Amino acid sequence: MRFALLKHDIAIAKAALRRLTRRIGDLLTVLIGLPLLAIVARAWLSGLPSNTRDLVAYGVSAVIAMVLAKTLLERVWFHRTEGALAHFAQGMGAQLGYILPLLLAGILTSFAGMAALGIFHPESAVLGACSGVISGFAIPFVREAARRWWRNVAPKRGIDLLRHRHAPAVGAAVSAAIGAICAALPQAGYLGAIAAGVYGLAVILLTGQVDAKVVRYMTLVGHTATSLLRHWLPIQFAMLLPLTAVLLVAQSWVAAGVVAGLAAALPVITVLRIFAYRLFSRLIADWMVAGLIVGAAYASLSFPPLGPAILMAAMIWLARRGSDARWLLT
Amino acid sequence: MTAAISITALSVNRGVQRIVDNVSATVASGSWFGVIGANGSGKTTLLRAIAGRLPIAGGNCAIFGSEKAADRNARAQAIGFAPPIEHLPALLTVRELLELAGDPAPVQQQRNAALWQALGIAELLNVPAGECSSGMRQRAALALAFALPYRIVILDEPFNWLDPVAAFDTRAVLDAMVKGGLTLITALHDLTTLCGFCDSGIVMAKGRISLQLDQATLRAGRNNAAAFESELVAALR
Repeated sequence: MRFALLKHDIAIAKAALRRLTRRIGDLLTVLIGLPLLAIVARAWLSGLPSNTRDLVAYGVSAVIAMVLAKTLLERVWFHRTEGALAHFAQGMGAQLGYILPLLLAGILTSFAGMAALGIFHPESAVLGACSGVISGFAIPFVREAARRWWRNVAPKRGIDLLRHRHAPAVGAAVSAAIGAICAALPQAGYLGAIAAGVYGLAVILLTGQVDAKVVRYMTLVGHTATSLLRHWLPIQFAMLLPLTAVLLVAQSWVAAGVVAGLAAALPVITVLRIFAYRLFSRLIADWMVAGLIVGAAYASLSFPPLGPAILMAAMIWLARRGSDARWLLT
Repeated sequence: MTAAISITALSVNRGVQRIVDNVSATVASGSWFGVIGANGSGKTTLLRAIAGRLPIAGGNCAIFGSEKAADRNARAQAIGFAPPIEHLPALLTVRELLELAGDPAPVQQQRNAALWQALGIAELLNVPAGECSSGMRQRAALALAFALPYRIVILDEPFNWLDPVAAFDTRAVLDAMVKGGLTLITALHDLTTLCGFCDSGIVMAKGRISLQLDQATLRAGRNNAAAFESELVAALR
């Protein structure tokens, strides 16, 4: 069957949309709220200098293209091994026939959204999309290679360093030491900020993984929301907050800003994913969290406090709904 | 007569770990081939690799005499396979799933009438997979393996989750399909099906074959279940 994978995922998306639109309140919020936010965001963005808007266009299209490319590639891998249509997913033609239309549609939709917000700059957007697509396709391969390398070098007895009882204390000490090193680096050239950013990325790679199956299992056996968060968050805080504090004390403002951003974003995304995995399948949960983040970022462009408020409301809503899922998984 | 599937020194990896190592077996066309083994012995990995769901790391895999070890797509196209029930998309109905996976539902119903009857698929058609119990999902997954007219079908522990009546009826229908020319490969845990229905098989332990089961062995097992069970358990250890 031609485009079987595409038809399969479009059918899932349609079913999800049907379910969403059954709730008239949600539909009205989307139909009224989105255009309103767009108008406010457009007014705010039009006040930015032209080169800043170009930079925003580059960044937004790069992030969207990267997330899309990574998600679609991983989805193809799923279709090939676990999916109900695996027999249609093995050929290169079938895989391209799935990835390319969705990638193109997603990128064009993001361009249209950017045009509606008045930040569409063709060269920046296309360049951002190209770099995003390349990095998005590269990330899963790099991650798999890193995992293989780690399996080869890790102790065979499978000691999980991040779950070790002394891990938060060791992580905090490492974080503080990195902070001291970053603060000692020359301020000119943003060397400290770059070093702190690289460390932050390493922390994301090390501690940002949330396994949906583990979340669902822990929920099934009765773990509360607090208990789930205790499982993932302490190591993230331990590895980021001391670094932020040291950089603030040392008045390395740019580096501190970079790390503070990461220290706020990583736990929030982790919490959203954990709570969403309690309620939904991994695919739907990931798309929902991605949608929430994009929505919050979009809202922040109109009125900065709105983004955090949306994320907080989403966390509370997911936490409350998820409390019913304890002991009983649907 | 050309074998439906012939594997020689087959190896399959998961990541860097070798799960199936140096496995050789031949499945005759129009026969029921059983794969039995302890949990984690590599049964599922072997079956998924043969069905093109995983790459083959080494060795040969011929389908009706044509070498396909390097051609994952050809293996997936040639062999029907029941997907894992935990990955059926929750929002799609069983009808949508069946039609996306193969022929239109009425065509499948006509072709697989007895199987649909045994599995009660007609009653499930408009039920979203997310609202199905594990048993209902297993029924849908089994029907999905027959969504296209395959000559070879692989089912991984097909009778799990099924109630005794459905398991009994499904076994009988599968046996009739095999007698009609289907080549069926199933991973199993129950000796009743293995001895009562399979024409040949293998016992796997730690990724390797620990015992080959030919028709005479299985027939002997039917006549002396206790001795057969002892022999099998020794091979599984």
